[in-house]
Order: sequence, then structure tokens, then C-alpha cells
Amino acid sequence: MKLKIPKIPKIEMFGIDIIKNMLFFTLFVVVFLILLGILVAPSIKMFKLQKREYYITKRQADKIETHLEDKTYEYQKLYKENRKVIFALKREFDKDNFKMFTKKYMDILSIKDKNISVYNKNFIKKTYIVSAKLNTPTDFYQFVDMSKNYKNILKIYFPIVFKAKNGDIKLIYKLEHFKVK
Amino acid sequence: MYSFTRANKKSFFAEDTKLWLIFISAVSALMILFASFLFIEALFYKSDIKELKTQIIDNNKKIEDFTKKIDFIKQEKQLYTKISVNNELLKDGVKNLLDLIPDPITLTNIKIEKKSLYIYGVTPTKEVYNVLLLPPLKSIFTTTTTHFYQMENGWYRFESVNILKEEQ
Repeated sequence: MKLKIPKIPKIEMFGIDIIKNMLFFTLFVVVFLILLGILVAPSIKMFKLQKREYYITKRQADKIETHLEDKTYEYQKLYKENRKVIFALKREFDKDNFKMFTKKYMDILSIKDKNISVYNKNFIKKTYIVSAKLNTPTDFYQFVDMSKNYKNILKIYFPIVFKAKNGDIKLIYKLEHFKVK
Repeated sequence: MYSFTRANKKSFFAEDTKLWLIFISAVSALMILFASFLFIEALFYKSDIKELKTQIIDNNKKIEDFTKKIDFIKQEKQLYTKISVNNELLKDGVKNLLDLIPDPITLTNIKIEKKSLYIYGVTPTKEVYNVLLLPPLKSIFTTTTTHFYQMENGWYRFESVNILKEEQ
């Protein structure tokens, strides 16, 4: 038995094959929709998603950047303001230099090391016992006033002993030197 | 048989078929190009996002470092201020104590500790000491004990021990 495929009737209008063109148009629509569904739509979706994420991340990055600028400025300002203290806390204590510094107020007879301890986790406290000779207690007050201008951070502490000796005053005091650990 | 006309070259596709095929191919190519463009742009965004995220992590680390440094400088400043105030208070304390000593009394030794004061000196009479020096010492310290030792010239050598209790 022979299978006979029905022949599509040829309808022409001004010499244009209407059926063939309709089929091509359908093919065009199908191809267009397939490409749109498979390629263009996912690309647009992906593009939009990435663009959105980019701007969210960018906003976040800008915010952090501004925060960093603020922190940098704050640090630089603080560093500039406290430069003297920062450097003073890095320096070692020099006994000879200290003797020179106090010469105007007292004659240092001896500086004895007492102990070393950790202060507030980040600092080292070295304790010395200073024995000196001075003329009047006023020299001691002036020395305490001027100690804040010294290159080290020094704390003058108890016990403080004033002893009259041959017209002079013998002074003994505890001196604490603070340094960054 | 012989024909007087030359045979026309017959195309595999008809003219309108060719037009349709070219049109469909062109539209498809444009769509593929457009999709590729968007895909590449999305990839660029993705790469920028990655870069920004790295930048965020770095900047956060820097902020953390700066915060630590700032805190440390504040600690250093606080320590300096505390020591300065302490020295100032110590100076004023010593000055005030020495100012307490009246003219007729001469000191030979004075030991100042955090919670106690030891004074050794000479006074012409016990009354001078009791009237001029004892009251201010009593007003400052919790307990005040004084011992007098008479000297050959009639004056008195004294030892004064003054203690401040913990609560004060």
C-alpha cells in the first residue's frame, strides 16, 4: 500500500506564496521565542541581578571607605596631639640624663633599681629609689612641676623622706618609669 | 533538441525563502549578540563585586587596626594624665603638709607615706606643739601619736606618728 502525503495547496496572491510565508513567519516566531527564553531572558535576569548586587556592594564599600577615612583622620589627629606622650612611652629611662635634668633642682646621690612590673597589661613599670640633696622643699615642688616636660613618663611616689643634714635637705623618693611593653 | 534560449541558473532556494532565512538568521544573530553582551556585562559586574568584597574585607581590617591603635593612644594619654594629676596632687599634698609646720618647730626628719606621716623634730615647749601642730594633724589623720623627749636645753625632741585609716 502506498502512503500518499496530502499536498499543501498553493495559495498565491500577487505572485506571493501565502502558505509558505505563513510557515516561515511561524518559524521566525518560534525561533524568536526559543532564543528569548533560552538566551536573552536569563541573560537579562543575570545582568539585572549582578547589577543590583554590584550597587548594594558598592554602597556598602563606600560606607566602609568613609568610615575608614574617618578612622584614619581620627587616628592621625590623636597621634599628632599625643606625639610627645607616645614617644615618651617608647623611651628607656637613662639615669645620667635624668641626673642632668634634675641638676637645676637637686643633686642626685643615687638611683637604685627596685623592681619591674607589668602595668595595665600594656605597660611596664620600673621602680627606682632616688636619693638626692636639695636646698629647699621649693626645689622639690619645681622638680615635680617640670617632670611633666621630661622625655620619659615619670611618677613621683611615696614614700618621700625629707631629712635635715648639715644645713641641706636629704630627699629620698620613689620614682616610677612607665614604658610601653 | 536544441533551444534558442539559454537555460536560467536555478537557485536551490526560492527568492522569498532566501529572504526569510536571512531575516531569521540576522534576528537570531542579533539576539545571541545581545544575550552575549548582557552575559559579559554581568560577568564584569561579578568581577567588580568580588573586587569590592575584597576591598570591604581589607578596609574592615584596617578599621579594626585603627580602632586598636586609637584605643591604645587613648590608654597612653589616660596614663599620662593620671600620672600628671598624681604628681600634681603629690606636690600639693607635700606642700600642704610642710606648710602646716609652724615657725617655732624645727623638723629633722619627715617621712610621708600613702597612708601615714612620720614627723621628727624639735619644739621649744610641748604647748607650742600641742597648740600649733597637733590640731591640724588630728583633723587630717585618724590616729595621731606623739612622744616627747626632753633635751638638755629644755626644748623637746618629738616623734609624731600619724595614720590614716583605709576608709578615708
